[in-house]
Amino acid sequence: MSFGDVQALQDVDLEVPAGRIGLVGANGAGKSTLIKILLGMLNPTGGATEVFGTSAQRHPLAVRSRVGYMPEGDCFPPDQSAADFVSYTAELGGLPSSESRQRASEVLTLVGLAEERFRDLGEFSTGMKQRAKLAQAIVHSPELVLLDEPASGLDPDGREDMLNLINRLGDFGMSVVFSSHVLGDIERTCDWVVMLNEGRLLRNEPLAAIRASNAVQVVLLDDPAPAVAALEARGARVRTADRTLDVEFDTGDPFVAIRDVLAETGVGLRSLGSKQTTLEDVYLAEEEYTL
Amino acid sequence: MSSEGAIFDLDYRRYEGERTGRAKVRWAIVRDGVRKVLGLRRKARRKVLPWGLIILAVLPAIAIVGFQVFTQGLGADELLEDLIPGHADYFGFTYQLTFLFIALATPELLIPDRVSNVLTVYASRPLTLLDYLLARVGSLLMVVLAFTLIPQIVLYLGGAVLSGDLVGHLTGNLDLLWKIPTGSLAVFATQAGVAFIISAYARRRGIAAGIYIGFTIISGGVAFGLAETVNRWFAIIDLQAHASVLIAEIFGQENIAEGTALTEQGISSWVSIIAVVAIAAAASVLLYRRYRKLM
Repeated sequence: MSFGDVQALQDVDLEVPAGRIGLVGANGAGKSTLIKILLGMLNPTGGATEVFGTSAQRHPLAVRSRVGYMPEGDCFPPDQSAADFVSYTAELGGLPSSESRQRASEVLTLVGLAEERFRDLGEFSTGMKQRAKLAQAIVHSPELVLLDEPASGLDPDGREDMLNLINRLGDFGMSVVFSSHVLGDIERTCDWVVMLNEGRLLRNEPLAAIRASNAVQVVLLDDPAPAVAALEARGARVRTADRTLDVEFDTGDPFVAIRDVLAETGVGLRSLGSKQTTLEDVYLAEEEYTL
Repeated sequence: MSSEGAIFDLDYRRYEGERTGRAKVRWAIVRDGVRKVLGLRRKARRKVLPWGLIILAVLPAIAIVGFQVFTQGLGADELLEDLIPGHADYFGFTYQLTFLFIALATPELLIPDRVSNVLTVYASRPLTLLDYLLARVGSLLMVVLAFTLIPQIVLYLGGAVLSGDLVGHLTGNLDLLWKIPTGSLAVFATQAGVAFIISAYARRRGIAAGIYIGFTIISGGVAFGLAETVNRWFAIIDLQAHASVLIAEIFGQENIAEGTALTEQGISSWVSIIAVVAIAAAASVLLYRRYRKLM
């Protein structure tokens, strides 16, 4: 996918299961472009996209009738009440008008806007707008919801509420594609991660697989240099940050090897344990690798 | 009354009923457009201009009927007949109001959706760009037809009641049943294309309305000047003259178009029909091309 000379997405080949999918990447990584391609709003310059087995390029209306979309930016008429607008978007999604008002009311209550639903959208705060955007995305009961940076601009409480709502969408029978550059948000809400960087696919796998690590984290009391040298002599890959070492062996029990090295070198040990890999670690490592 | 009770947390309820088709979706957009233009379900200040114009268009018709009621018993029916405007004359009278109404309504239909990025929501729903644009044109058509028809209906029904022979009046004026809507359609066709194009590019409603009003008035003056001094065919750029010519043709009353650049230059009403169709076609293509980049 390209815009003029700029390649927004390149060689992205992926398949994701139903569930909560995190779309991770820095600003400009291609997340929004990928979402718009999934909706059939943009046509890729090459390749194909299928949603629920239907081509998003050849049958965009069939795809959109099963998908909800929460855009990153504002998308509201400021002089219309939330209830009127969400009800209208329900009709646009194919619900009869008699049902739409009732649905709008229910969904606005669900996102925490029951009291404010008759206020004009132009009077809403950023947090209220984000909730209203989520309401219009789910009011027509889509099977999949595409959320583009749903927590952006929210204060900590608002972010917490939004992430809780996203977590609940799965319970309502909806799959979610949640785009964010805040890796912690993805870790809290998603069970599958698609990682993009500068339009290229870095990772596409379950969050559990990404977080799984063979590395052992060792925190030492003394100068780590002798221990690092001894570990590397035994074939370990060692990353050092001050007196903290991340040690990884391809074979053998790393704990036994570390115990032996510390005994040999006499370096004091503060703590030892399996390393918890975060998405941030993976993202930074991948980014470093691609550079 | 049962002694046992239960509280149900309904939570989120999936919609499992039937989905409507695209025709219903288009109709929803038409209704939304009508509400926007008339300021319905909006704050009171949004209703002032559209309803003010509607009242201005209808009041004279009510006054005419009232005047007829008042003078009915005076025995001067033949004398007054020439003074009381008919349907075609009334089109001429409301034409400037209709022109202002279109100037205010068209930006309302297009600009807020574009500037507030509501187009993104439309683009994510199961509808095409053509559905959206046709529905918006449909909204304007509906309100303009209502705007021009309501006073005509008041006149028509008033005349029918006053004649004392309701059925006789209705059957004797059957031609008005097609002439009045066709006249409204002619007013819409001559004005809407340019109004839509201006609104498709302008970012503010007031500016769009101003440009449209200015363009229409200036085009009339320029048409007159150029037709007199350069070439008679420049008369065709006078948009308002086309509407007058078409209404005169529909009602068979040439006096309605008298004094316009087109009649002064002796240009046939067929030219007006062709010009209006050409403007509508060009406006449709430009509008579609403009919005294809946005949705």
